[in-house]
Amino acid sequence: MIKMSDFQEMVNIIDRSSVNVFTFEYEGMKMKLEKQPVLQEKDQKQEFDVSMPNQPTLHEQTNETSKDEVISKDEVINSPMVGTFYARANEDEDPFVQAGDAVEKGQVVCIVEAMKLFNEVQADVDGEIVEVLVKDGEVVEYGQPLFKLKKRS
Amino acid sequence: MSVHIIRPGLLATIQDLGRYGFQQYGVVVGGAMDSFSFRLGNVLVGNEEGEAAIEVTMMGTSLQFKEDTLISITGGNLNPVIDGSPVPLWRPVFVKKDTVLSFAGCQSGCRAYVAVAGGFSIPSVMNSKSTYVRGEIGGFKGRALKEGDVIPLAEENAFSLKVKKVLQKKLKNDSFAAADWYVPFERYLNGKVVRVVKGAEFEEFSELAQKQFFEQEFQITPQSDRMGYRLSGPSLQLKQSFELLSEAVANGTIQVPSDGNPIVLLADRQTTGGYPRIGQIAAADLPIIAQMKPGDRVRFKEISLHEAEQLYMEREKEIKQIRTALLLKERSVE
Repeated sequence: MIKMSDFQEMVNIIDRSSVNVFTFEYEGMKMKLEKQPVLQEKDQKQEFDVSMPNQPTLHEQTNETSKDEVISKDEVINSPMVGTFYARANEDEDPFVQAGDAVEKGQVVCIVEAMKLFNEVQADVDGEIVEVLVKDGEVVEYGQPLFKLKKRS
Repeated sequence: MSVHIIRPGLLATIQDLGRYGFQQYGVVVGGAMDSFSFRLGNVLVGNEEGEAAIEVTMMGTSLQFKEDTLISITGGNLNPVIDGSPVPLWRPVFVKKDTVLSFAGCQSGCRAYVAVAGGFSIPSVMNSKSTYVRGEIGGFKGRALKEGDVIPLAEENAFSLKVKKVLQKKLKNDSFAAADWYVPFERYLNGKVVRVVKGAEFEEFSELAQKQFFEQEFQITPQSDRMGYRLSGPSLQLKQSFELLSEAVANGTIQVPSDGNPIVLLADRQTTGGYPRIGQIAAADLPIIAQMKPGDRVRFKEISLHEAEQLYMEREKEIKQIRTALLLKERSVE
């Protein structure tokens, strides 16, 4: 049932992800992928920064007022998977949310596509979108921050 | 477990991928009009692609699920609602026992598919569960669904049960819970241009007709059904009339009777035809024509056989990718 091309696709996705060990069983077949830990943790972090070079500058520009605030974990919406980030459902539609928009818990804020399957990402708290951290069509990592959010108290 | 038909609406039938292998005896193939939407509907709930599902036509259909059921709605957007709330298409949906699903009318497209996890427990006739209404063959008692029909469901597999459990946990006070993953397939259904390969008798048509066929617009007339669509537009004339022996026709064959108005043959087409064939719709674009309704306008665009094959293979590849992605999804969701 599963063709070589499907495997290649899977291997590619896993290769790009932060997953190190991956086991896959299907109809009696078994596949195990293990990545070599080439980088020390420090280096990995550095690489992460390099992959998003435009981010630190954006950060400073838009966020001067809230510089002192500590961004806690629940004030960021992270990508639930590796895939392509889409800010809108269709090319001719407006983005789900933009900076400054109020969002409610459970509201769809973006789509992450992996292998033609579209996954809706929802806000997990009520709040306001402070910043959109990725561009429409960009490839995102598992756990990569997508939005900065101000929690409504 | 079963589905009860509260209202059949305009036309609701049980369909699968068709009754193949019997055309030599004159048995019509039938099956889902928009087979891509149909197949994805099954894939979404964890069924085999060809498992029987309900094809709903345009409006008025109302179904009740007698147990907690995992379903999906694909195809045209016929405004499916549960308790007044719209139900999203192209994704698995958990529906609670005794929930009524109704189709309010066409927003886009003409036919929607309701697939249920496990499929319907009805007999196969000549290897198929599809309903051929004219021949009273297959489906549920060989006919379109009627008010009061009770269609039994078959057992769900492990995949379906897992997805069902995941979605059930999401359920709040509503009667249904939709998955937050979906397949964006409606973009393949909403075109106005259908790609066509030249038919076997294309060269027999006058130069004017050949030009008109690819340059002008045709309208779907009310004399259209699951067997075929009669089109109106420029009258397509032959260079000179000739006798043609009956030959094979396929899903999407466009034949032209002597009045010059083309007929697009679809799911419930006859097995052979004696009119000259001006074109053959590319398989990848069959969903577009199947989702058109009387009054809609269509244009034909010429492509080569090679291009049509490429399109078909790309579409198949995409479906396979979606299947793999869903498999991985099912393993990762909690």
